[in-house]
Amino acid sequence: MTHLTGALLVSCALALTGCSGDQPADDSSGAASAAVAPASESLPDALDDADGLQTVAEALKSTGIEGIFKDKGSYTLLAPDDDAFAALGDAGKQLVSGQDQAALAALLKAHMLTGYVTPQDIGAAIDASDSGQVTMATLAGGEVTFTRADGAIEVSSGDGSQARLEGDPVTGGQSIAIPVNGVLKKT
Amino acid sequence: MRTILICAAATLALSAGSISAQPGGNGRGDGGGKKGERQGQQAGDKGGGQKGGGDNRGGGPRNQLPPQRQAQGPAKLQGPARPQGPSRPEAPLQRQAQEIARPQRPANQPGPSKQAKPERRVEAPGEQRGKPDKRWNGDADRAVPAVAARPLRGDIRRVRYDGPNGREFFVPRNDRVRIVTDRRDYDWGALHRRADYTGCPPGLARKYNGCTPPGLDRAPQRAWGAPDWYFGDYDRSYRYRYSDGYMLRLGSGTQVLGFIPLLAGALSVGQAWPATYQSVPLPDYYDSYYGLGPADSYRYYDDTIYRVNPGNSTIESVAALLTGNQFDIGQPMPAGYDVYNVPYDYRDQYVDGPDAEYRYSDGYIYQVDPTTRLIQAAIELLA
Repeated sequence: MTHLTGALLVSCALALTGCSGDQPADDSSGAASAAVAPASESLPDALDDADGLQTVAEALKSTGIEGIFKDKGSYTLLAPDDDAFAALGDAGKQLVSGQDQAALAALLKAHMLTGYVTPQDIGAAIDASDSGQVTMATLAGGEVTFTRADGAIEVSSGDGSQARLEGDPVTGGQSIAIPVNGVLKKT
Repeated sequence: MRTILICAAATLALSAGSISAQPGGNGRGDGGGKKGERQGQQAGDKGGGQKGGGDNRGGGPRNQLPPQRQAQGPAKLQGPARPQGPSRPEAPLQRQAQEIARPQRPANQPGPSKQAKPERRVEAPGEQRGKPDKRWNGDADRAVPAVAARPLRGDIRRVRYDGPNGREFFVPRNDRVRIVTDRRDYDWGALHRRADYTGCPPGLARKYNGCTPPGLDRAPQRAWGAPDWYFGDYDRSYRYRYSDGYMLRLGSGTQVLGFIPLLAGALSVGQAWPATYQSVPLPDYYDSYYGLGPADSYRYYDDTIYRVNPGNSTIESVAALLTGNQFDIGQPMPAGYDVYNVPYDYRDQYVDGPDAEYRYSDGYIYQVDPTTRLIQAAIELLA
């Protein structure tokens, strides 16, 4: 409980978006916006303390990708929550088992963007676009597309995988993680 | 109740939030604004250039990447399209750079008083530069961006540059950035980003009695056994299969013709960097930005920078992942940068507005003309 409370305190203190208990993050707080101030610890360490993101935190460490978060490079991780990995079934278990770390690293890269992107930034870009959707390049060489759906922001990848942005972002160093409820790669 | 209390504390924390810029950086290259600037530049603000390479001891790539792959490079930075000629041609975008000694006003802050109102030298959106942008309500002086912004710093100077067709533009500047508007610091086009090596990967011949990993004679059992899991662009005229941290290129049957070492597979922390893998020198700017150190202390491969022990070449960490997207000054922004993504530490200096938008990639912030979508400047981050 102490752990959870601490995580809530950190996420609420750092988040510019919603800070309302169980309510989903509000990405459109408008003119009164302020950037999500990153925590001093690295993003993988911050994810370690975040509820429901243990799988992706461990994956960053086991693949060695955690190293990129220790310097000035800035990244955004669309972080599948633990339930998203669990929903993959045996494939998910095998991916995170450590048997094929290269495969897991490739999966993570498909969830990573260059730079520091907040849910509010994404929402603003969607609202400003004529098509109602915006794209961002991933570190895997593809793109993800963001749209609004049922009051939330959804993200889809080139292979048709979809997820929804949910919860408050987690920050650390120069980087930020936005929890998503699905894995953006078909297994 | 506890949540409410926590959120109240969060509100206080937000209101009292402070900013901390990172130290370090040693900009190089005669950056933008050198000519015609009226105020001094920071020490060390000189050209980028190319760093000495690490190991290059044979065993180089069998072939190069497919054309579409080679056409890219990690955050390539080069000048606007122009005829080939002698090195260091006169800078078309930088023939005149004039520093305006006044703070930049962000689009999300109230406009200054008449006395302090900065001179506007560009058209307001909706007037002469195309249709109004939804984000700015067609009124540049009252525009309010919806992105997650920060109050602007007080040490920002707006430096004026002459752009194409006589259109001038301004770039916010201070001593923690170096502005590049004209020339190519590094020849990314000459870079072999993901070499495909010939033969059997190191160790596999012994492990599998003649380089015959199991399963090559049938379809991959998992999605990550196929090359599409790892690459969007690869030579599709060959068959590839995953095995033991490599993507193997196959000939007839199960014959292994070549291989691509993979991040966290053959190229994982703790492994020795194979001497046969070609190393690539990167721009000096990357030394400072990613903290790479001397040329023998890092390796680059497939848009990934690895730190290695100079003594025994053991991979010590993954230093950076790069997009490989190409950015050419004077050319349109590549696709996939629809969302404001400036790092937090620079959101108090580079905020989207009616006159300019900013996008980050691979260590640079790019200033983009919101109307033409052309890249006006590349900004190196020195702090």
